[in-house]
Amino acid sequence: MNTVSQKEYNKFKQESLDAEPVRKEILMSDINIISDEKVAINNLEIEMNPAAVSDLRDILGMPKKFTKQFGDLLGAEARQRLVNIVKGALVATGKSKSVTLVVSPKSRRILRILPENNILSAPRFFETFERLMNAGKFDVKDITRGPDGGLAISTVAPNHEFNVNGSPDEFFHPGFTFRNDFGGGTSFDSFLYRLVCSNGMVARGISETVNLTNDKDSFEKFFSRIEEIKMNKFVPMAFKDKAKLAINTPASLFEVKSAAEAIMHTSKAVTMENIDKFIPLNNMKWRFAKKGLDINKLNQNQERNTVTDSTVWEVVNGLTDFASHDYGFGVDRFKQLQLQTAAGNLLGKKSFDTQNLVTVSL
Amino acid sequence: MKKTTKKAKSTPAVKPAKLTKKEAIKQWLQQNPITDIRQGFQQFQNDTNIDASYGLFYYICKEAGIRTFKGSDMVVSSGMDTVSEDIVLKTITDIQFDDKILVPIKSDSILDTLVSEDGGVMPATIIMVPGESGIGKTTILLKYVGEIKKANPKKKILFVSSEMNEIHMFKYSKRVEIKGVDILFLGDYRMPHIALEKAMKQGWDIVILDSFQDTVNKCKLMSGMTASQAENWLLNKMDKCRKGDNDQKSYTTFMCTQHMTKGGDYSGSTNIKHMTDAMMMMKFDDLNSEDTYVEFSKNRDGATKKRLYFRLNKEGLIFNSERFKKDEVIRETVKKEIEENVKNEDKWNELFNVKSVEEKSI
Repeated sequence: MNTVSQKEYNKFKQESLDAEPVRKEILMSDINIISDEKVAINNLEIEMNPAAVSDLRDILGMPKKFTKQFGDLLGAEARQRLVNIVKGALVATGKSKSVTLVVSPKSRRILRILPENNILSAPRFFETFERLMNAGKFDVKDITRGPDGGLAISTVAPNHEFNVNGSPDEFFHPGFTFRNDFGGGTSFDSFLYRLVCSNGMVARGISETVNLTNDKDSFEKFFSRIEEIKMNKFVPMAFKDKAKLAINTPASLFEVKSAAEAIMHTSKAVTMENIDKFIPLNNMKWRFAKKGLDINKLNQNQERNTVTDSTVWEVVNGLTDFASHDYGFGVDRFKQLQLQTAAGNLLGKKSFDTQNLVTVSL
Repeated sequence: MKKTTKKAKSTPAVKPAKLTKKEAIKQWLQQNPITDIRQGFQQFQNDTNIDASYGLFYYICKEAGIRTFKGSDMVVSSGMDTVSEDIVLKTITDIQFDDKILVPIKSDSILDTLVSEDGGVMPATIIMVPGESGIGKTTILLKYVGEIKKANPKKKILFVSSEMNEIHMFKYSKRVEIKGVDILFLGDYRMPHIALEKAMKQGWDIVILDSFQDTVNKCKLMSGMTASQAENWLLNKMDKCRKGDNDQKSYTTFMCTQHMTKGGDYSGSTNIKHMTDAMMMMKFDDLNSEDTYVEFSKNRDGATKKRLYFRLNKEGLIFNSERFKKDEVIRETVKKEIEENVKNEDKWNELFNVKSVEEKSI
């Protein structure tokens, strides 16, 4: 199993600390939206990255499509005026008093705009992570830094493994993923590393995500929950049962398509032509067509009731395979981590689409 | 036996029928030399143990032949200011104590970290220990002074037991080691206040009063003092003792258990609250009533609002040091996060060449 060396971790840590974005809490009333990519804060003009633009729109509650159409119809200036009016209304009604700007110290652009400043600073993130590492014997598996300065580290416990379903292929190492995500906050999730194929999965959806904000009560609850998870040796309680069920449940066409689309979304280089290596969607499409079924004409509900010959477990493994290895598609680690999380979400679904289907009919 | 002393002669007032009380007092004061009045009052105090501020007025009214009076009759304009002590203004260099007053008395107990920032009991302090009945006030103090005695064999420690008798104490000693601590059972004396005064005069490093209220009650019963007089008397004795006014010239620290009202408030006069240097509360945890903790709500020498959890069981008293240390780490982390926010402000100002609010106001 490849793990991150102490030297690599230290380098990553130092670089992350040096590159930590600057955060500034400001009043909404102090923001003047000049254009799609620029705001003025007390006469100081600052450019925004697309993610920040999207954040601002979300805070203002303005649908993306509507805003775009408005601008297309009436011009960019009119759109800016509309946005400023909406912003003014929010301030006047007291619904949004302040926001936190996340600014790159290098480019001096706004990377994100957050409704509140409650994720950990980079130094506290690493301190807390190292404290979590001391809770068990872990190796660092993956280290990731996003373009907006978000951080994620996955770990595995090399000396602890467990089996699912009695199968020789289903041995796992437990671990955890600790994230500092400007969109999702600071969070802890169980991480599972499948030995036979070196695939990693973030077990969000199977086990509870433990969130952390930068106040005392949150820290107390967080570490109290970690103690409980530690008692189960960091193995998510429901994982074994879910894995068994996934192994024995055929995936629906919808589940297969969703997984394939999630992978294709990470890189333009992944297309319907080469997706089959991970999720055999193209092959399925061809085989269904041979039986007279054009899957492109199905609606979502029909897709959910279409039984494929891949199990949910195979689909999960397809996702984690793509997410855990570099196949030359130029996918950054953050997106791979998102796929690992998507795999965990699929496995952790309340029920699989075809789980309750009764195939016997009179 | 009451001391019989010769009173200083004073000329009784001749109160004309139309004089008011204030006028009568004023007249009497004019007729009697100040030195005689002061001397007479000193003797009166020695004979009656009455509180100084009220007592002087009481004495004057008695000597002036005024039978009934109340506090509002005592006004500066009646001449009272001339007979009370001359004021002596001091500079800080006039205030001198031996440096040993600054040296904490340490034990190996984790309670040291809570009691003062220097770690340990500070000399010349009055610490109140309020808590509900049965929560463990006496046990904690006995255990603590036992640890102190172990670490400091030469220290003199007195336990004044007002509530427990010898049988109770014997049973306690089976659970909590209380070697090397002298015990005064107030209930054994017909004149408890004199016994207490004699004991305090011997000079101690630490005196535990268990409980303060019951000690006041016992002193009140056999001395003829009112409750308020007895309380003031005790507080005055404690104050003198902690300033080194005893045979050993020790800067005595007093640790006094105290009861709580049913509403969970501290039971005691504001006089006590003002005199105390620290209030070491003992409470049941809100979320888990099996957990109990110690927390300083007031502490001139140390931190407040830090909880040290403990359990009292068959094995005795066990402090949850691990939990305390974890809480300390959390507190430190949150404190650093707050400092980080300040650093972010500076980084922002530096990044965008913005003057800080302080710079702008200069």
